[in-house]
Amino acid sequence: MFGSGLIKGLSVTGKHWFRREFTEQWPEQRPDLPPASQGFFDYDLSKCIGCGLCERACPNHVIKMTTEKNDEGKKVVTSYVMEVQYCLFCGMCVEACPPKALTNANNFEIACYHRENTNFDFATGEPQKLNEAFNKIQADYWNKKRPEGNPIGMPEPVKPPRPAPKPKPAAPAEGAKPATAPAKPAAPAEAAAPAAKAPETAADKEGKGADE
Amino acid sequence: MSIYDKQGRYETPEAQTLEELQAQQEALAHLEGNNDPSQPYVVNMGPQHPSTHGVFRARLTMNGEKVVACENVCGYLHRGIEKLCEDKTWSQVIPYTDRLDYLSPILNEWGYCMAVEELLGVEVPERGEYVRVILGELQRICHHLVYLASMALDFNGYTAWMYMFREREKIFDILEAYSGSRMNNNALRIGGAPTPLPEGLEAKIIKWLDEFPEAMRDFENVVNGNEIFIARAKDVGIIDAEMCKNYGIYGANLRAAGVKLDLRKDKPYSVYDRFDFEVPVGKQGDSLDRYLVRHEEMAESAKIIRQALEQMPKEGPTMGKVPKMIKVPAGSAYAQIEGGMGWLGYYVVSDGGMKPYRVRIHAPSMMSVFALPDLVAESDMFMQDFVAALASVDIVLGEVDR
Amino acid sequence: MLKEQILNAIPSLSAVEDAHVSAFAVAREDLVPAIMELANKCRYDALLDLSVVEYPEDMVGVYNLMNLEDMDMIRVEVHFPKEDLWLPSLNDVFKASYILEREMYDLFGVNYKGHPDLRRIFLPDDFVGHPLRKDYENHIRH
Repeated sequence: MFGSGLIKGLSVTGKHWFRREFTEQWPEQRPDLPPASQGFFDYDLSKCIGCGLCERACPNHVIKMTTEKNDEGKKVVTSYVMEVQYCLFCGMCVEACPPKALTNANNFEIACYHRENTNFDFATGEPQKLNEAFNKIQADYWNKKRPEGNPIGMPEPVKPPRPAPKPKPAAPAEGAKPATAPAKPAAPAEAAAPAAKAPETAADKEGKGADE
Repeated sequence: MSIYDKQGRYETPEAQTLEELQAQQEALAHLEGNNDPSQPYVVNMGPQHPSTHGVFRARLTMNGEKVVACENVCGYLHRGIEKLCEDKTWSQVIPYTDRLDYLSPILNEWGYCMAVEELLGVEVPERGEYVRVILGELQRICHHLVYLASMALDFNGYTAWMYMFREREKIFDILEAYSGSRMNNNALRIGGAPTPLPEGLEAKIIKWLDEFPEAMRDFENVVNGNEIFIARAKDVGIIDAEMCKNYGIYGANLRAAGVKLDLRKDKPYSVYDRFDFEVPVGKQGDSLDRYLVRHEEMAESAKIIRQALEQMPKEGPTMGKVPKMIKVPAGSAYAQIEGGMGWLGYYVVSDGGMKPYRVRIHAPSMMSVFALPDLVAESDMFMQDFVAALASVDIVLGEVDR
Repeated sequence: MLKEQILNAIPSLSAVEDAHVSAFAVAREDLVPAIMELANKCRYDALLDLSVVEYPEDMVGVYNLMNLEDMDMIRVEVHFPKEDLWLPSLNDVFKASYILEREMYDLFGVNYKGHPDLRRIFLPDDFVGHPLRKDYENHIRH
């Protein structure tokens, strides 16, 4: 009774001492971001029709867009400035865009030193280069760790099922290694993910049944 | 000028001018001739403080180590959300309601969406309700984890704080896969939830649910049985049921005082009447009871999430029939939900246009925090008891100050 | 309790059209006795919320009460003119109204007669103006 509470607490701490640590040492270890993660924005000038729905959807009037009519009478976007210092990162603009020209990018490393640098003009193409650099670093890191690819960024990589116990090195159970989907956390992974998931779970059960 | 008010309590208004300050010091001078070497002293438990759960100021009148009187000064986080909401359209208000109780944003959005849906007459489809329940209960666990962690931290238990925040990180991964943000996720819409749970997220939630009981056992072993914790929290800051009702305090604080009242059971909203869960109740309403009630509530929330995942329909819409540009007919409605701290209420008035006419937010933690001055005056509190009492009546300054 | 039963029990209340809850209107002078009778006789003794809404022609004080036995919610409205901004304080009936009325004074400028300590709560003490009034301009960024 006396001190037993303290001893129980210390035993829990001792147990966690020997477990794998949970903290990620960024930037040496990269975070495992799901495809829906919203850090920054990606803007495709060729898809944008200049409708202005994103401007009106924003609660804080962050997006400022100027357009002009070109020779054929079509609307062309000349500048698309986002004052990200006022942005709530709520995603209403991304939801509102009809041709999906404005999308989420996983890039969260957009900090800068001066307030003027928080105004990004997406029509020039400079901010998209930041996103590409970030995606490349993430892809390089996760391709080494997880060559089979993994939907939704699960904390543990989904292991392929063990092959059936046969003497010759037969190919493992069907659908175990989905041939596509490096761990690039962008749209292509989403399309591969549902296709890759179904044969994996079926194969999982098969593999387990064979083991028993 | 007397520094004693009619009930004999010390009354120390803030001196505005030099003359007032001198007059106050003259009034205290009569104590100098006594054998009593101490005089009451006003100390600021100031806005920047690690234990006030935000920017909150308490002007404590202390006589030695005992706290004799307390005056709350809040408003350091006042952002004018109610006024801002009058300038945005109906769906643009949702990111602002996120930032009220910033530890459980989805619960705040739920309350607002319920009030607007009542005015619009829109029915949320079943699948949308289940998604709301799953996300809402996950956020309730997040909120209670911060409550437990901060209370343990105020008693100098750094390890417990770290363990509970580690559980929170795992929940954030789940929420990030759904809505894109870890905190302040703009996850609900008027009419339901924008998307169903994506592929693979159900498996991830079930995996987390399987690991959660072990984590809860760890919390119990580290904090609940600890003798120092019990000595500091038992019989401290007793807010009984009558005081709760008088001050308008409902939710977990009232349940800790022994009254079994939970909006999810007694006035079920959404699909809460389909789940089988219990409502933990405390005994006398001291700080230890308030802590244990919320500890148990986390286990009940995990039960609800498991049942919701089983019962959720696999197909169907998640959003009701709501136009893109919402125009709400004139009228007013009051919707309340069982938030992490009490009964969060939204009184929404519409004049038939595209923007709300008035959004009034009733914050339960504001009622809890203003029970403290009378609590201090009635009971015999040391400084550390005040810290324990302030930590145990759950306050989040984003909600108190709006 | 049904709306008709409440109207019969407390004659100073009058009915207000509302599709969602039972709503009543009461005159400013009868507010405190009506609320006391609602709390004692009809058991609507939980004050959920107290707020003020400004309409173009007058201001309305709104009180949401709840009966914790049936879990039934009602709303009581008090209309008062903008030129004569005062309302009686409910501090003797509900201690919860101490802070809520301070907040309404701070944001709207409504004077609650009988309140022990009516001063600003959110805004600094030397602030000029009452922000939630409709003629206070919202500083919007464009």
